[in-house]
Amino acid sequence: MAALCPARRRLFSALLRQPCRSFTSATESSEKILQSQDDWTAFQLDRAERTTLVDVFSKFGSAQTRDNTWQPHHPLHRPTAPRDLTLSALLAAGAHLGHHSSLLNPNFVPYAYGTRAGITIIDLERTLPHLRRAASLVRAVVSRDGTVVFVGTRTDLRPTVLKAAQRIGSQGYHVGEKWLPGTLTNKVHFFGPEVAQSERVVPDLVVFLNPIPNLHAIRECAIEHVPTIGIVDSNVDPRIVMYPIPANDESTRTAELIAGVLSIAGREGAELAAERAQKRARSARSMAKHRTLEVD
Amino acid sequence: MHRLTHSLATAGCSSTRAVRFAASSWRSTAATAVSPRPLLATASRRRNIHVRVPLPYKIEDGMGDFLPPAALKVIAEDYQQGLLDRLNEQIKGTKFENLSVAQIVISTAPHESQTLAFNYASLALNNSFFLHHLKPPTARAPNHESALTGKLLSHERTHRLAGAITAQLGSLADLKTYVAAAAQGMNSGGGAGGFVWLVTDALGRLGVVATYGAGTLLVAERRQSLLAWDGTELGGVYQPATPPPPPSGRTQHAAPAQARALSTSARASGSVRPTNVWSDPPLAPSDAGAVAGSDGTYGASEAPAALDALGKTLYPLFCVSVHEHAWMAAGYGVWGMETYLERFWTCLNWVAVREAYARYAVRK
Repeated sequence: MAALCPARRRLFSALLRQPCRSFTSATESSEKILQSQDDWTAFQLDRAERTTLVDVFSKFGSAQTRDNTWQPHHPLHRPTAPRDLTLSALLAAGAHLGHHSSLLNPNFVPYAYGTRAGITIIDLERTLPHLRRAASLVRAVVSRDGTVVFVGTRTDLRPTVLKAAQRIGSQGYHVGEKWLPGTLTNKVHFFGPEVAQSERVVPDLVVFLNPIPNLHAIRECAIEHVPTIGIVDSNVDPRIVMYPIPANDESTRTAELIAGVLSIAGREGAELAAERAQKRARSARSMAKHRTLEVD
Repeated sequence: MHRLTHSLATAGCSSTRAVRFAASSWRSTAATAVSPRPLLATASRRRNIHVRVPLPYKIEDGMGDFLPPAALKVIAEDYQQGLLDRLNEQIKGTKFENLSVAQIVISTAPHESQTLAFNYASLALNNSFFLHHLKPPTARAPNHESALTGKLLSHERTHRLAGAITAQLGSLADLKTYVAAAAQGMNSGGGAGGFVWLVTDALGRLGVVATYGAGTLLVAERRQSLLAWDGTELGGVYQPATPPPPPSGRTQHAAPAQARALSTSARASGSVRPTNVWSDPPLAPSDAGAVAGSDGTYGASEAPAALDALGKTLYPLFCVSVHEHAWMAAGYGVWGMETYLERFWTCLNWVAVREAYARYAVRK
């Protein structure tokens, strides 16, 4: 570029600048605001055409598409299955980051790996088997027609618990806002005497993604003899829940990972129950057929 | 819990592997009965890089007389993979890492600092589009042009593409002339080459568009159809002082800074002049030279609203790669572009082109 005469250099730099100069400026685009219904229709048709064009070209170029690459919404919408769970995944989610060492609960020491940068590092090699045990438990409970409640009472945990419950299906429930005190211990007041007696109001398993703000709920589960799973951090006594998962309770990624693993295990349990019911129905039908044949 | 960790420690292998293998042996038969899948993650958990899309034909067999196997390998493997490798290098560690090539073209188009990524992505996209619309000729079918007038598609009542070519461009030979002219114009500059496309819009209008260098049809501002963006070198830009009132219901906006040029047609008298889409009376024959093959009038029956859709979004039907490496590798020599183009027509997959045209031209 330096070897060119000034005129040529100016031309080249002008040409290089051209593509970006012709993008619509803010003033131009503000003139084209939609005003009438027909404007909106034309805008929608335009957008549909542009989408078609992008879809046409998306098939070419390389084998990498939006579907087979990691997207930021995948931890919530496409969680890891229990069989695909690895230590690296837990590490990447920041599950090993505990609270400050001065806040270390003495009962948490077996789950602590050490201290670094003033915080307790949680030993993920103990977290992983605990998480897998919890997954097996959720699978077993759901496959035996049990109900599971996911509790995550923080704004960032709300979509996580909702999706986790939806994944399990009719046997999954979630509490994303607040666990009303007395839900289990005062069920007659909450649900009415008929419902409290005839329907299954007490869940078979409760999963706490943030146990500290929900200690009242944990206490209720203990009173009603409901098994609990919970993410316990380094400032927490792991014995507050029956099946602790020592991990970082402040990280959204960790909570999404753990809730995802447990909900996929629950979905597998539901599928198993459906398979078993199908098999039983088939064998009952074939037995009935045999009996009628014998009688004949 | 302590018994658990003790048994892990006595496994004897490194800690990570011990956990994983021990876990696999704990898998209950119930779990495996659900759906057998490989142990490690699905594709979306692993980091992906760009690799070539597998072609519907074998590269070792070549492309008939058009491209011998060595030339097809140069274009489809060496050049394409080279573009993707360089693209991978450019986007590594940036926010464009997990996007498809088309999305990278769109995202990097506005940024000068991302010129390399845009160029590589655009060339890879266009080259891939070119390769996917080729089909090796057979002994029975030396070219695939019979598909233009062959069996009708399920939703077609007439041969739409063949009719459109005849009505708008004159004949298939005329279309080939336009493409050859555009390619010649592109190549005579001795530059970086480009691609010549046959495009259509929602109205079914056909046009021949040349994208120079790494121009793309995806981003209108980066189409690079004209060498100079403001069109001053092509005889001026039509700018109506007061555009006529737009079709009923639509809000009137200020005239666009540049009128849209649909094609670089060889039929235009003198220089290429952009189409006037705002005209109220039908255009005189001399004014509409810019639209390839148009006989000048849009016809009284053509609704004004339809004119707004003219050339707004250009859908690609097929393209030709006008690059020296293509005909040099095929053995036509450095000036072999004409032979290269002649033989290209024997390998163009007209079935795919027809199906694409039927899919896009919907606003008839």
